[in-house]
Amino acid sequence: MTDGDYDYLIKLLALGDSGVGKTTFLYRYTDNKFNPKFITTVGIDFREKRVVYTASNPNATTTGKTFKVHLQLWDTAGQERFRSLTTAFFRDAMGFLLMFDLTSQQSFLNVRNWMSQLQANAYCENPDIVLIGNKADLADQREVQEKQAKELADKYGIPYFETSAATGAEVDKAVITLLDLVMKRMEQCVDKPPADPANGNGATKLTAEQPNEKKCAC
Amino acid sequence: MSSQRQTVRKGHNLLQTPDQEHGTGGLRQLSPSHSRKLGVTRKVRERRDLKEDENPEEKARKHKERELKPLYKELLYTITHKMGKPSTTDIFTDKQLHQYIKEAFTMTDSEHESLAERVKTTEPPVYCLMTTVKEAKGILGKDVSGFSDPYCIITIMEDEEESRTRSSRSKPCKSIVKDAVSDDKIFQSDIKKQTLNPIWNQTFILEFEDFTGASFHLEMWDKDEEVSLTQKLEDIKSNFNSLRRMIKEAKKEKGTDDFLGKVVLKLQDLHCTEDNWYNLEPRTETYPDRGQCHLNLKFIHKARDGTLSAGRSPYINYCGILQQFVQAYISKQQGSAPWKGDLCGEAQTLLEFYATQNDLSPFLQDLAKWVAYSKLYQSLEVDSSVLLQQLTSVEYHWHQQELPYQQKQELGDSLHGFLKYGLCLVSKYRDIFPPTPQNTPKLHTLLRILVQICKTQAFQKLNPAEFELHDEVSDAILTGTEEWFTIQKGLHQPMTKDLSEIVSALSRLIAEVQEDIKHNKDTWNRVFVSAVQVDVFTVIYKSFDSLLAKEMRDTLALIEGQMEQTLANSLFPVYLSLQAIQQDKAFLQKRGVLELTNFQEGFREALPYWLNHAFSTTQDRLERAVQVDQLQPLQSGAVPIKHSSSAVDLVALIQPICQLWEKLSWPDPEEAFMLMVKITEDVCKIVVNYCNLLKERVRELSENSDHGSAINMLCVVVNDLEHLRSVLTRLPTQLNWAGLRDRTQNVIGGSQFHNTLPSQLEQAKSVLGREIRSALNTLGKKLNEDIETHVRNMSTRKRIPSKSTEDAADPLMRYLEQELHYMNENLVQENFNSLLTPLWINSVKILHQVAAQHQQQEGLMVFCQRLLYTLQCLEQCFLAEGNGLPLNILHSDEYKALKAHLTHNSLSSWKLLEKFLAGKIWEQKVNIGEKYGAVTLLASYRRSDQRLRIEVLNAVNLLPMDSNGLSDPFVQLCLEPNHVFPEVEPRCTQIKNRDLNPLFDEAFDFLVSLEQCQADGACLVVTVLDHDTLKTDDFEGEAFLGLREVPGVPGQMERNELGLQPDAVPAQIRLSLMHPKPNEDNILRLLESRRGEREAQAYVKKRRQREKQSQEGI
Repeated sequence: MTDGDYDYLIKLLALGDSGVGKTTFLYRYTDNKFNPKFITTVGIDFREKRVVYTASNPNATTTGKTFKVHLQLWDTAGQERFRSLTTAFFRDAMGFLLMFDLTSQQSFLNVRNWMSQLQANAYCENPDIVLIGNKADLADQREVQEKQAKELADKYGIPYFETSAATGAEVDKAVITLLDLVMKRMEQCVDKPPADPANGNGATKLTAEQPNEKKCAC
Repeated sequence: MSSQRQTVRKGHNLLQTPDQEHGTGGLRQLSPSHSRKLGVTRKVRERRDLKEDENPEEKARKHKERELKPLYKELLYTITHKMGKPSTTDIFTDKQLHQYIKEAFTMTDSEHESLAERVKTTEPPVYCLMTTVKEAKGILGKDVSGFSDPYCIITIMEDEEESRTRSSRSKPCKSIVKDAVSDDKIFQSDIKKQTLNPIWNQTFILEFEDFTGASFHLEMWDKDEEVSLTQKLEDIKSNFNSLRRMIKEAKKEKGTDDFLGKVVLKLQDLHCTEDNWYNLEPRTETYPDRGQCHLNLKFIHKARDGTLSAGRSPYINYCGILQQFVQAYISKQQGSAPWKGDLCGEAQTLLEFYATQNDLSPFLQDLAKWVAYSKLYQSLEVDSSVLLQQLTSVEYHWHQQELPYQQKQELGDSLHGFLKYGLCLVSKYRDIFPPTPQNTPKLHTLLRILVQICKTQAFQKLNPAEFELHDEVSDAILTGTEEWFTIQKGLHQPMTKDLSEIVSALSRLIAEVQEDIKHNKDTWNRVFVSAVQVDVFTVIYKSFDSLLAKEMRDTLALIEGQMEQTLANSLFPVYLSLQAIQQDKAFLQKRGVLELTNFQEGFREALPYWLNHAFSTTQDRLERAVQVDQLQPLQSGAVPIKHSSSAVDLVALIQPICQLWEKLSWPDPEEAFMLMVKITEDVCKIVVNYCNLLKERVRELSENSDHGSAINMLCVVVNDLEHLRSVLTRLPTQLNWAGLRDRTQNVIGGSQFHNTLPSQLEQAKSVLGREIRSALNTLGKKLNEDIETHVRNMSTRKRIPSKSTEDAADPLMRYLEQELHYMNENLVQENFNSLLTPLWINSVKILHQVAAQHQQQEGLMVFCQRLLYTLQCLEQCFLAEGNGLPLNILHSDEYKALKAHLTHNSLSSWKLLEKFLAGKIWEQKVNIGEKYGAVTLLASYRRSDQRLRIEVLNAVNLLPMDSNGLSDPFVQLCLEPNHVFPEVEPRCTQIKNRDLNPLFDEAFDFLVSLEQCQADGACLVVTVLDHDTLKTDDFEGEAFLGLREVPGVPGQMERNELGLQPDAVPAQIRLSLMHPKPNEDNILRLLESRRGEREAQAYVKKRRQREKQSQEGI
């Protein structure tokens, strides 16, 4: 996994209240497995996955091209006591999986807090976020209605997914959507400065991250 | 100093300087606890009275009038009526003494005159010699018992009496004193019974009028009384020796006392105080050894004029004079060294006179000194050891004698007051005794004095209340610390309500505290512990702990929820200071619960900002470092550094981030883990960013520089990146991951730890690795381009005939040597090797391409020779005597093919033919199996007549060529190559009809020279053919016999032994027949391409024909 053979290194970060299923979600995504046991994440954890991304933006120069993308998925602790330190990790993430528990109204209400935390600490004011309502399989325990969540997501202008780490429903889709957003943002950044033909592939690929962060470091 | 002289003190017996009152005002602010314990003294009240006083000048005037002038008069009086010599070595005249007091009391001449005038008009005192007869020893035993019953008669004889006695001296009289002086002037001591060492300790005051000419007389007598006869008889019985004395006694006049001895002293010779043993002189010359008498003599005044100092007690005056003298002395002193208790001779003399004249006891004198000095200590620089000395003597006298009530009170007050003052100083120890080598001993002495005071009997008697110095000092320190803290807090008060202003104020305050704790720990603690056993460090540490904890709580409460970058930045020093303070708790004597123990928690919110700050600072600096980097290797020092300045900078820049980790030393393991993850991420990110910046930089620089230096810069970039890799490799050690692993063992799973830390680092390393490879590729490409250019240049130069092969290849070689040398010097070995491999492969490829492109052109041979030479040189170059690429990499398939190609192309047609034949000979040798049959020959070469003899014996197992299943074979012998044997015709055997195993047995002689036979490729081609009458003969097979294998050919020609050399024995050789493989041989193809050469063409044509007949490959 650690060879440098990829085109892009993308850091995504999952956040949300404790117990909404961030770890199981990511576990489902990376290993396609489900662990029903609740083990609270201490501090911070980190998962990796290689995906092949096909650019779909018709306007971009890279249309149709495929990239090898190395995904770094940061799994944060939802507990209050780690909150301030968790925000330190927001700075370097390029996209966020903001999760709540469909069976917990409280976790949904806290989405606002997480949003403001994100806006304050992420690389820019409006980072790429996907709102995820997890545990969709527990229909009988559901407390948050889809309409409610959708409205909130619309208000923030971000996509919304109802996923289930247990069944795997919509998990991949949510991550891919986020990846798509991140890649598009990056392409915009890459497209702006003239591409560098002199130094081969490696250079352009890596510099791709650079202007992105520089621009948004405000 | 001069202002101190203008002292005002009213109603009280001691001089008080205004300085003390105002200048030391700060010191006066005693804490309530102290005044409570020690009680409000009289002095404080009086001082309040003074406060409402008039202006200072008026005050000074009054002070002089009321205080100084009386004292001055007393001194004048003392001088006028001085008696005896002073004990000092210097003797001063009255004039000198006058001059001195004038200065000491700052009296003007007129004042002096008027005061002197007034003193003259006063009543003179009664001069007295205060005599204490203490004891005697070794006096004569005049009684029968051997003892005496001594008593003394004392008087002073004035002039005329003296002379009178002297006149009557010739006639011994029994009681001269009694005779000479009137009885009222004679004093008699008690009679001590039956002793030779009597002790009296009786004091008599002897008045006299005129000092000069008067003398002191003491006579000691033995009292004789009637003794009962029985007792005398007892004596006789007991002591026979006394019989004689008894007889003598009997002779004497009954009731007459016996003379024991006398002491006569002239008053003029005496010091003002004398305390000596005097020899008892005989009246006549008899019995010179009469023992000694101990006398204490003092010149005192009786009835001194009371108007001088308005009837104040001599003790009080003494105090006043003393203080005035000391102040005068100090003010005269140059420099700021503390006063060590010295006084000038005049002052000593005057004080002695005054004390003696007024009969002040040594206790009172010492007391006065203590009181005066301890007062002075509070206003002037006085060496504390002076006080210690006085204190000791007061303590000594306390045991010796009682003090009058008033002085007792005064001593009590004084000790008390000093203690209070001392504690006040102690509470201000930070300001008064800064932690310098000069000041700490002062603190130590002060504390010792305080201890001494508490130990004295006087203090314990006079202050019966419980007084625990240890606690008092601790309290004083505590109060002082709190006050100090309040003052510091005030000093660092924020100017505005701005949060970061408040925080930086707090930061400064804590820094002060930190500094103070350090001083306490390093300096003051030792002093306090050794002097009063107070662990000042523990006291202040605990005090600061709670004070700071409160400050922190207040400040953090203000900050709550308002964290932002600048605020967080200003909090960082606060955190560090607190951390440092925390670390000092190891030095605490008593462990207890400290309020600051978990202070880190309050800073949790600031953590992300600190990390961010460290990161962005590093990022900025990094950018600057790269911007100034010229990408030149740093050549400083003996060992050349292969990377450039920014790589060095980067290492230095990462340092602060790593240090941040250490500085924070966050206690909570889980949060510490998160911190570590973040720090690691930041470092990795910085490294990757650096990578990109560096590439940007090298691109920028290369654009404006020549090709060569661009390559060099790229080289440096590779090294920089490599250097970074080593930095990353060191990171786990640098950040002590192992330590963190241990700490978090129980909370963080192994895989989580691995995921977040080592694998993250690996990720960054792999990015680096990729960058290095990519840079090396670029570098390789650049070099390849150059190589290609050089190679192509060579090919264009091929038409210049003057240019030799070496010259043509030279530019390339020089280039390569230079570059490879540079790379080897400047690249890390690993990278150098990974650069060499593709470079070599590429070079071979280029050569191949170039060679292929020129195939059909003129002068190909020369060109190929050059290329071959180049290839060989390149090989040497890359092999680098075993230091470069290994042979297995060098000798790739492509290399081999190219080499063969070039080798062939560079040969002439003849050479090629030779090579072709050599190949055939070799082929013949390795051929196994007789698929097409075989031929047996007998071959030999006779050197003597240069004759090659070939006997064709037979052929076997030939293939049937005719329709009848048989062949009609014959053998053709031919010497090749043609250019070696130009005029040798092929020879044939007879045709053997219908025989597949024909027996020929025919011999052929070829006359050829040895040189011809030894030439390269020289061989005998044996062809077996099937004779057909109607069509061309069929091909049965061919065989190649290298002539060098023929006996007689190998070996050198030995000139001299020409005739003697025996002819070689012919060898029987069986040659298997072969068929050529069509279109296989490169050499033929090459020869074929050389259309201009007829001979070659002919040969090729012949061979092609053969190939057509061949059964191989059909």
